[in-house]
Amino acid sequence: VRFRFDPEHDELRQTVRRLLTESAGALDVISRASLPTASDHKLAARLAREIGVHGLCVPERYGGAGAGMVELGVVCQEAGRAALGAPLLSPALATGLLLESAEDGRTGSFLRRIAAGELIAAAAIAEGPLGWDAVPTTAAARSAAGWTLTGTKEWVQDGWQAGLLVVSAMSPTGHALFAVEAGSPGLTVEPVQTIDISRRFARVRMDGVPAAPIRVRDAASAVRRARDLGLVLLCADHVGIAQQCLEMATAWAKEREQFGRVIGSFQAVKHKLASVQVELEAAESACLYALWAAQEAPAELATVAPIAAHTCAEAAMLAAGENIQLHGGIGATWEHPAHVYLRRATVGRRLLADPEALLEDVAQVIEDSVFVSTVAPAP
Amino acid sequence: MTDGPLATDLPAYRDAVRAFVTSPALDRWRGAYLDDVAEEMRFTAGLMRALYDGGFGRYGLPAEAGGLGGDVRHWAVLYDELARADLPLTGQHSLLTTLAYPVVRFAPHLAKAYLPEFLSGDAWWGQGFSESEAGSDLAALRCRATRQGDEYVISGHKLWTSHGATASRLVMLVRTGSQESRHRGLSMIMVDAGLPGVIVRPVELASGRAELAECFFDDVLVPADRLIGAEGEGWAVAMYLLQYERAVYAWLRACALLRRVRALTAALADGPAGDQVLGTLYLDLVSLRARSVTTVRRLAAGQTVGPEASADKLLLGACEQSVYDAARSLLGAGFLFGEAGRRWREDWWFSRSTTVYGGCAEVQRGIIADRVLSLPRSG
Repeated sequence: VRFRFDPEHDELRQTVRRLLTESAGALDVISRASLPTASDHKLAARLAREIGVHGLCVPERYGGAGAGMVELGVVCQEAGRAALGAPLLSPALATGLLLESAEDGRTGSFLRRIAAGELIAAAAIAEGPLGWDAVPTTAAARSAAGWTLTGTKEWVQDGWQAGLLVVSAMSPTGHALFAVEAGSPGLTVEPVQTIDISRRFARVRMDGVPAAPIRVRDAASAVRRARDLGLVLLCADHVGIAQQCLEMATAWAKEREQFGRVIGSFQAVKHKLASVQVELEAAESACLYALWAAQEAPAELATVAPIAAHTCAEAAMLAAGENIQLHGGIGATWEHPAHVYLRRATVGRRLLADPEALLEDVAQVIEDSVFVSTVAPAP
Repeated sequence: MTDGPLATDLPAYRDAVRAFVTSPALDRWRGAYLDDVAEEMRFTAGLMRALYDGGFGRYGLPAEAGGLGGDVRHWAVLYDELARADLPLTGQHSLLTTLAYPVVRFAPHLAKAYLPEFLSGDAWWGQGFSESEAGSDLAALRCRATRQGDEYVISGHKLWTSHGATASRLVMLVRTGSQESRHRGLSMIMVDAGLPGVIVRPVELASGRAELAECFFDDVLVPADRLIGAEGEGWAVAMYLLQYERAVYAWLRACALLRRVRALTAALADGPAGDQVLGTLYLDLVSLRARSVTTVRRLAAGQTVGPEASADKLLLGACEQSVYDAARSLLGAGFLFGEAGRRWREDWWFSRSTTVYGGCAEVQRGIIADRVLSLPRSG
């Protein structure tokens, strides 16, 4: 049982950080703002093949690392720090959904290709503004030739690059999941602009698109579990954003002079930064606990995920906002990286769930179930 | 003197504590609340005795000090279970878990002689640090101890001593060096409250409850073997103590607050919905616990808890106030009027002091800014 980062996590962190420092970062995001992909395809390929990010949570029998959420969390935290645009979260969500499926040849082959870095998978769940909770209106129909899907999916992250879409739909027997391969007839993928220039989203229109069923026992629960895992990975992204913004703002406060002294010596500036540090520490702890729970205590996940998600998203928003404020005029310009993080946090905090609805979920669980476990071992 | 059977098995300790604290033998303390602070301390002393006789109140301290072995995590588990069983987190515990460890470490002879009375509820000690001119700026304290042969002569004044009016001994930080030597000229000493020349007066807070006291010392003679640590080592002892306050006291308060949130939720069962407020509260509390559990574990593992724990202190202060602010806003007239709201009102008033005592929030932010973020000192 782990409730902390181990030396091998630090090693993974260093490897990812080195790669992202070389070939990514907020300035890179700004320079690619009008391009269809938010990261260099060479970087995406190195992440997929050299580091094997998409296979981290895939069991070894499919060629994955058989590692866990803590490892993936380490990568997501670095992704947040670098405002990484390469596919990461969306493939993880799609993989989570595929892993809900009973073993069959087709999902096994998808998982093998994902783990090998040969296939980018994306989850296509949300419709309209309703997030992941809504009952899908996308319709699945069966004919002699097989299943087809008709409907529209929104907010499909990395939809434009994906070779495989995992789609939720309503079949004659209820909520179900399907695999749709890129380039299928009747499939249209349109890029969609959002306030976040570090991620890419698409609208996916399906008009009688051939689809292969992904057999899961209860699609609605599978989607819910995948959402919760996604919320936890977003926690890590948000912690990365908050760390990076606090480091930027602190470094600037030690360098920038006004009234004859560095601005970091003014109490008003100190207290702002200290408040961000406090929220960051709370977020780091909540995130680590949630990653641990996702891996080791899945029964706790449904309760822990919304709590950690809210805490970490608010920390990222605070840190990103204060970073802009403390940078003064330069912080409000396009060329400065500060805005990239506020953009990323603004979308991240409601990518998979409405934060206000999360709060109401949290109010439903006020009892003993989330007494953070004191019995876990000492570091 | 040997360790008890549960010293190294926390899950078993938790199970055993849970069975014990939910037994009818402890029903007289369940949900009870006494108006008068001194009376309440005498009442909870009975609970201390019951826990001591059952053995569960002795874990966390070494056998040489009357304990049954184990570490601070045993206290954390005990507090969890007391709160869960709607039993009070006693005033004795809040003093014991901060004062015991420095005495064990720096004055084992005093721990051996006097900690058993504290553990068993027969007596309790106060912490005499603050003075009217030395609050958050503790190193400015003036209460003086002058060596005369085998004794110290103590003269001066202490203020804000928690439960000072009923404590039988006071663990005091006194000046043995020059005033200019600040924190270098301080010593820690244990003073019996019944000695000639000691006068203790309760201090009523805005709530009307007299939780605190002021103490006057008029040439009080104290044996030199009552020193805790060497002469001049008082600041180091105080910093050692502070670790326990930041870790274990914070955990105790978080447990107490969870108990109050449950009471608030119950009081609102038929009232207007306050889901967003309650959700936010619960979120803050769980974040605090996620943070605090790391600090408690670090302490249990023998690591030093340093300036970063000011974050724990700030998170706790914010939680204390948000819980009682929520009670004030959600209970409405029920908070303002009548007997049922009395406890809420008194606690609300006390919560106003939580961002002041133990080092005010502004000072904590300064510590984080200077010593965690390494910002330049204020000019």
